[in-house]
Amino acid sequence: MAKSVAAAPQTLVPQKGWRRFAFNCKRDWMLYAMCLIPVVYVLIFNYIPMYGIQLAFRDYKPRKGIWGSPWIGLDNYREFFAFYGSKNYILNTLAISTYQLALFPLPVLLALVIHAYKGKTFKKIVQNVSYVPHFISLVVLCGMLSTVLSPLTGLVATLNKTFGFNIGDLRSDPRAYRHVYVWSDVWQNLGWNTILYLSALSGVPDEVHEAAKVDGASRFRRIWVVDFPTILPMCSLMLIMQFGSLFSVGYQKAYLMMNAANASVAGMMSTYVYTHGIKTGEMGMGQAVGLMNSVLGMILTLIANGVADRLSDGEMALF
Amino acid sequence: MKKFLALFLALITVLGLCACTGGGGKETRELTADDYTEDGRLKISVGVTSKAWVLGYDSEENAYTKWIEETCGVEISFVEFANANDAVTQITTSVAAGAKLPDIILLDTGMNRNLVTTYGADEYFVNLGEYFADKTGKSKIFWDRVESEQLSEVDRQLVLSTMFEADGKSVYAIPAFETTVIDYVASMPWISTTWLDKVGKDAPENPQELYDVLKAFKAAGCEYPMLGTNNHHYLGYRVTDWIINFYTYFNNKNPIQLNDGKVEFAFTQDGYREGLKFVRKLIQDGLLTDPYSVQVADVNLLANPADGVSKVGIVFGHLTLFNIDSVDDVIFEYEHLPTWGNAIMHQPTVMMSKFITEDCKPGKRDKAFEILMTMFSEEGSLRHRYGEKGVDWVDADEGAKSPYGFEAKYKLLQETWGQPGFNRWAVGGGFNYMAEGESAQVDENTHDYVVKKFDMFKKMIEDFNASAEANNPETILPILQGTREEQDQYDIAITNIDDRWPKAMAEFIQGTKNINSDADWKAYLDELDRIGLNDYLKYLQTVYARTQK
Amino acid sequence: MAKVKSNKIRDPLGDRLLQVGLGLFLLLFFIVEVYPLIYVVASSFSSANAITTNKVLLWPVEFTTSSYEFVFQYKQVWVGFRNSVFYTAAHVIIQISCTLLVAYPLSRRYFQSRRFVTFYFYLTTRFAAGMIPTFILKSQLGLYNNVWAVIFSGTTIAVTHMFMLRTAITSNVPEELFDSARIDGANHFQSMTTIAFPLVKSTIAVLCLYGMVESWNDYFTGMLYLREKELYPLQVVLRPIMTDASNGMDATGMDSAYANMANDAKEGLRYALIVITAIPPVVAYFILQKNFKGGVMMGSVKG
Repeated sequence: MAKSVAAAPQTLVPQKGWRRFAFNCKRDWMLYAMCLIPVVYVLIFNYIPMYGIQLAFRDYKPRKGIWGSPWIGLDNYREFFAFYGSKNYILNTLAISTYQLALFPLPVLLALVIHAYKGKTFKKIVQNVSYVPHFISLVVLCGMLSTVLSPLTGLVATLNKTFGFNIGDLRSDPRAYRHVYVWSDVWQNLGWNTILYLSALSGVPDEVHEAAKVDGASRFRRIWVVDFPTILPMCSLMLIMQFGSLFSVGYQKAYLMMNAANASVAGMMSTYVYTHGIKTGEMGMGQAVGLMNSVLGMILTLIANGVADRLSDGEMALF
Repeated sequence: MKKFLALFLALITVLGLCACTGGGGKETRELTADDYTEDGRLKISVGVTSKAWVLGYDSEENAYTKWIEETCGVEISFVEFANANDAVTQITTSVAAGAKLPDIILLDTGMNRNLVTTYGADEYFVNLGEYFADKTGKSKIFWDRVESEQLSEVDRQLVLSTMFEADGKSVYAIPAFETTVIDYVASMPWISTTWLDKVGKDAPENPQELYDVLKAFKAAGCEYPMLGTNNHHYLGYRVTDWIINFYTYFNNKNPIQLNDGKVEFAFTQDGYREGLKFVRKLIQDGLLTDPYSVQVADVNLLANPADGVSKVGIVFGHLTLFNIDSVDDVIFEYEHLPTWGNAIMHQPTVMMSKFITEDCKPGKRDKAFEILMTMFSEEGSLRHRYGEKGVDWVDADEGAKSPYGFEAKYKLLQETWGQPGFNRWAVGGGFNYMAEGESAQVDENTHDYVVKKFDMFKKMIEDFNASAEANNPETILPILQGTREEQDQYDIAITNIDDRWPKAMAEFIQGTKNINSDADWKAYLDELDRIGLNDYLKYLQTVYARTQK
Repeated sequence: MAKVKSNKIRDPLGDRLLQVGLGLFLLLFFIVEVYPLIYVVASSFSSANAITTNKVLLWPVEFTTSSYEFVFQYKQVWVGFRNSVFYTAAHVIIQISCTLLVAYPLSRRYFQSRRFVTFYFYLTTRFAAGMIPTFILKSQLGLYNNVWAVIFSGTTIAVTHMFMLRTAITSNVPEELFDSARIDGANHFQSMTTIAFPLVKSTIAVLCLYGMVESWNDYFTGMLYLREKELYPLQVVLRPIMTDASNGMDATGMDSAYANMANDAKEGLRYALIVITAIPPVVAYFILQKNFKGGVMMGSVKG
């Protein structure tokens, strides 16, 4: 029997240590071979560039390369904070990310609504349509914002004329910037973000719902008692991850939306990397601020994770 | 298998280490056979910006390209930057990565002055000083034009002081320069005679009359009594600058003034505040559309609407930028509104926009410079501006005159303002002649609407010169550029102030801060003081003092 | 446990009201999501005059296809389109292959380096070197001004995809199948291709869609690494047209034959371009839509 043939070497398997490791490698060499290319790829493109993190502490002169550039320690950070607008940038960044964080329950609520709603075709239409904005690129979205929000020639103008509204220019009004930024993001991604939660919800076996119904629970009560706890772990996970990007928000979208009039509220830490780092040729500065963002992000993730850990007795932490 | 794995990992580590050491060896700086084409022409690479909106544009097939290749005996290959906005990003990242730059770089809107100095000092841009020292040889074309009579003394000083570095000898970029008033007037107001007739008034001659006229327009049903945009750098769209200049000299690109021998910032003066107050009043009373909200496209569309009905009372912009094909075009209902304030031309129209990079092999540099000089020549400028010689324009007939009475230099064979876009590079000319009218031959073959266009601009130029003569201050300061060390020393103050004041201006204009409140104004001045205004002034004073020696 | 059939008597009024309420909410949501899209499509078929005089609300006014005609003559856009198609296809193929190549070993419980490999990849999502060092490294590897820089962009190794696929394999493919395959003498590679792959096609389709959208919509990679007009992807070509932030909107430099047209067509043109650019990802979604069944595939994220 083949089985016994396969069984035979088992008795010769070394039990522990280096020998066992080697044995397993030999046995699973193909698995290793399969991983090899991605592993090497990540080594080259993700791990090796990490030596470039030190750019944050050097006065980078491309001619001299990274190693040859003079070491300036924390000077880049001193310069960042000496820039009068830094506090503003940090505030803008936090304002937008907390705003987005506050809207976090939206996809959850929507998922609950969709899941609870019974009309199949309507539900399907709504869902499919709500996915379409997700596929629009940021460049196109900013183009849409720029065109649609024009109070002279855009949709806003048409609404103003037809219904008598008096909407101003939301593109250049500093007070409107944050709202436009955040809500256009909601418009674009709300539908898509429900997918995750919907999948968790549909993972609940029907028996649970039936049992609840037998116990006399109304639809509404069922949502509260069955659906809600089901998606809580997922929520927790997503929330923790979003905390991690608190400081790096705006990398692409703010850059594309920035113009002369909203510059004082549109400037964020990630746009600073562009406007005062890359565009002025000061790569070290750009790297310094970028580094600060990721470190802060990591710290926040750990904190958020710890809190979730405590609150849920270890059930809902990321790690 | 294990051995193979180990070997592979070792190889990867070695590769990684190699990457760490800053790149492989440089290719030789000597000219090799690869640098020449088969028929012995040098190969030069040129970096240009891609052009959105221009159909049929192909760098290789371009008439301008072909002319340069013939005249200079070179073969040109192109590196195309994504767009005007990101071109500088692409250049700085290329420099940072040690990647090869093209031999010549041409930028649409020029590069930040400080960055030019930095890259020059760090030897990414070739120091062209010695070429310019050779006035009768290599840079003859340049000096002939700059020192000719066509350039006013003020403009000449502008070009020279911007081009040369603090040491008076080094030059890292060749400027694109416009002598023409038309292209670089900071604000170009045109008033609709239709609407003036409707309300029975004459063109205003002071702020109060301006206000009254606009109010009348609005009462008569004009949708946009005054329209202009602050979202554009040049070509006459900035209405706020025009208004501020009623009260004090203000140039958005170089906001310094000389008062009693001292350099001061325009944006701290009382006159500036008065101007902003007036702007704010106009916006609040619905007479001026928020200039930060208006886009260039909006201006063009509303000033020359498809239905032929004038919707704008006073419009700021470069009106004849679009195809006009009849004397009945709405555009001709507009008339230039002379200003009773300062007449501002942007400085520098001198944009630091042409560079020769260090990656250009030493043996090619003479040729590269020759190309740039060829672009700078009269014919080069004309070709850049108007298109292919023989197809779009030809030399003017002997003794022909322009509509302004000057000697005509060229005769247009097609009638678009600006040249066929696909026949030139995004940035090319050295400097352009006083365009459109001053040097164009106009004869019986020219259409009446073209002549009318010329007339419009003739009036504009006359008005402009008259205002400048009557109102502009004695001394207009050029851009004051310090040495690299000085720049570094005052870096923080310079960055802070350069960043803050335009944002503050937007805040006042849009009403986020109250220009009429003394407290807000004082807070603004205090903030500027706090973030380095005085340091910046010290720096400027030093540089200025040096130019006086 | 006996299943109780849902009993109409047990459908209290409260429940029905709830359904109505939910339905209204969804309707509102639907309108908000769909209206801007309708506006964009309607505008793309409207004349420029109608757009600038603010007549377009729900349907095209002064119906015209001139915006689209203009776009079709606009060679640069089609060069960008072609490039994007190529980059996206190559990127997705490579990405999916790498994902599968890692997900399969990770799904084998006896794979001893399982935790190490998981952590190795996971770490890259938490901590990255940053844009500039990556750029410097890739340039030194010769990827500057090279299409492979865009194809091998940062998302080629999609770690979340790997974990999703791994979970999909573990939950969808019964171990017995692998065991019997091994008995029959199949090696891992054959197991992966003949057994695992067909059973997780659904998940793979979804991951393909993710990768495709990401690559299609990517602006910065193309802008950063490429320097040749013939190589720029669609998003890079579109940027100056879309954001109106550059002097791309000026008529100077305009071809005389198009100067007038462009000023008028410009308005509708942008809308037409939005529609044309957004179509491929949306179409791809609708094709792969059936793979998005409720929980079957996506529940794998929890892993």
